[in-house]
Amino acid sequence: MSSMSGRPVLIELDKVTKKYEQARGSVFALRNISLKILQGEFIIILGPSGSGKTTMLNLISGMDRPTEGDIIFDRQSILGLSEEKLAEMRRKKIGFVFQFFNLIDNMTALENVMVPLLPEDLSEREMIRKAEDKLDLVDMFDKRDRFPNQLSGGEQQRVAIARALVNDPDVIIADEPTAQLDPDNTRKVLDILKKLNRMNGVTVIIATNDEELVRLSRDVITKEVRLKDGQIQGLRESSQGRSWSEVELG
Amino acid sequence: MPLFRILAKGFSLAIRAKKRSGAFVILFIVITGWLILQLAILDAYDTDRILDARGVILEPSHELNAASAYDSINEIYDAVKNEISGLYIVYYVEVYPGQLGLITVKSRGKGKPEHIPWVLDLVKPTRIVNGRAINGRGEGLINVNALINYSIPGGIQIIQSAKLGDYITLQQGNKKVDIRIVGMYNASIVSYSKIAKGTENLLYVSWEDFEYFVEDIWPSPADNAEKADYVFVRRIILIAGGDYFSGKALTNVESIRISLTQNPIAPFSVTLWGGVDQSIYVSDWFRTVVLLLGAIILGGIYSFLLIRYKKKEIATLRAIGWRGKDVLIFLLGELIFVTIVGFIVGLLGVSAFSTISNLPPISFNTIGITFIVILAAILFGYYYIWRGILRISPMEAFRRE
Repeated sequence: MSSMSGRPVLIELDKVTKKYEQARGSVFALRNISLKILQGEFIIILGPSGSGKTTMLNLISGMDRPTEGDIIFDRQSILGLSEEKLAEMRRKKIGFVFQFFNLIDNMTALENVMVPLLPEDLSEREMIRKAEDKLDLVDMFDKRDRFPNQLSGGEQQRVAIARALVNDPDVIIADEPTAQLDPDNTRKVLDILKKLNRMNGVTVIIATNDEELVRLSRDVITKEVRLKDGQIQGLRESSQGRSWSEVELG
Repeated sequence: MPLFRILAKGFSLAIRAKKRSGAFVILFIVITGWLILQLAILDAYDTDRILDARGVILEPSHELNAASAYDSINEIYDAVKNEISGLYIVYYVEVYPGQLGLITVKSRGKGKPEHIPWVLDLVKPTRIVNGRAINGRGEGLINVNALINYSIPGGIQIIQSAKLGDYITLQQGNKKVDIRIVGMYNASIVSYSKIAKGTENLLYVSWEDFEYFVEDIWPSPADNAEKADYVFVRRIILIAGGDYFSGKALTNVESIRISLTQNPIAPFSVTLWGGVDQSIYVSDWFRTVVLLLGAIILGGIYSFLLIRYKKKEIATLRAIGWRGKDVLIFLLGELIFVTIVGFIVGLLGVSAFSTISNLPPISFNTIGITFIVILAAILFGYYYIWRGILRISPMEAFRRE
């Protein structure tokens, strides 16, 4: 399966609905969402709080399963995968960047970056080499022996990005990655994500409600998905910031 | 290999999380140290003193042979059979005057083989200072520094020592029994002199070997060792029936004691060793059980706190692709570190303290039981942590704080 631009589809959401049963009845977090994410894309999922952004990220990464519809990740439906296989998929193919960085307090920056490698059958030397490479990439090599509480918010997020990259994933999923950062650090973090997308061809999916982040990323964005009440309200596509087009929703 | 690496990472985090793990290491040091001490106190209870709490000891007022004692023992049994779970007789036969005697323990009526190792202080396994308890025929226990002095015609004396692994052969014509020394006991305790009555060396053997010696090897063999006139009854031990912790056993002890004191069956009389106070003995047991459960519960509390404080960390690890068992090993690393360090320091502390003060010695049994308790605490923690991990969804990693 490939798109018009010739790039293969990495992730496909096919008529995905997610509803939660509550005492007062069913609550729809997502309704009938269909979306194709191509390899190397830079996607922003935009929407207010409660619009379904995080649910979408949960489903894409296999942390949750849809109530209806299917999710195809790298030509494989995640519905049939066991928890163990889903964990392996996340470890090897997805890098996560969280709003609150989620670093382990009592580990140094280097150890935090090595965390995704610990279950892998790698030598200690190989793990350190990989982790130091990624810290270098985010310009945090010199602070590799510092603990999270000795780093600024922007520095912690760069360490978190290095951790997300250490397994050379196909896709980076970032949930409000700059929400806790000042404008200067927001730009730095965004520049790293853009560089990864442009230079290394890593697919980037960012969920945010920050229009400023959209503006700053305009030059790389390939899709802008606007969510409201669990439904796609608008979808704009572009070829890396050029020739924007509204996509008609079916 | 990766799992060991994750376990080691858990260890190192426990060292770094000084505030949380440090407090629990101290708690484990205190609880394991106290438990070791408590177990050592229980282990050190002299058997006769324990018997004062678990049962009743009867001793004859004068030297009494088995033939004369036989009917009296049956009478005693009939008088208390509803209150006891076992009646044991300590038999003695002299092999060489003043120098060597054989002793054994035999039950009559009710009796349980598992009681026998501790009805005699001499054969209580933890009282054996060298070697082990006997496992059956052909094995024996003798006093430390045993020296058997034979006088043979012509005024010649032969002094023979007996050590661990030596054989003592008792032979008459072509009939003999070979006893290999497998354990040695301390002859300086009160029970020894009560039973030995002046004989220098006591060889403890199984009832079967004793019976064979009396009925087949002795110069004028008896038909029944329990009725032989050259076999002596040195003590009768009655073990109270009923559950000990519900108090039923104690009630029975009291009832047996009153019954046999008010209506004595001559020539036996109740011997009060004046040793253990029943309530102290029970409270020692109670404290031990509380500490034992406390150590296990402490393992559970630490696991509970690990899960509570590391909820976000666990969710993040699962989100970034750690399997449940990876997270489990990671957290267990912390728990194992805290409990094992607590155990080792607690043990070393109590050992050091017991050498400089008048505390009971710490046996391997005590250390072994404490270690098993620590393993149980880890196992309990393992169960709790695993349940916690399964309950925490990786989606929690995205949750706003």
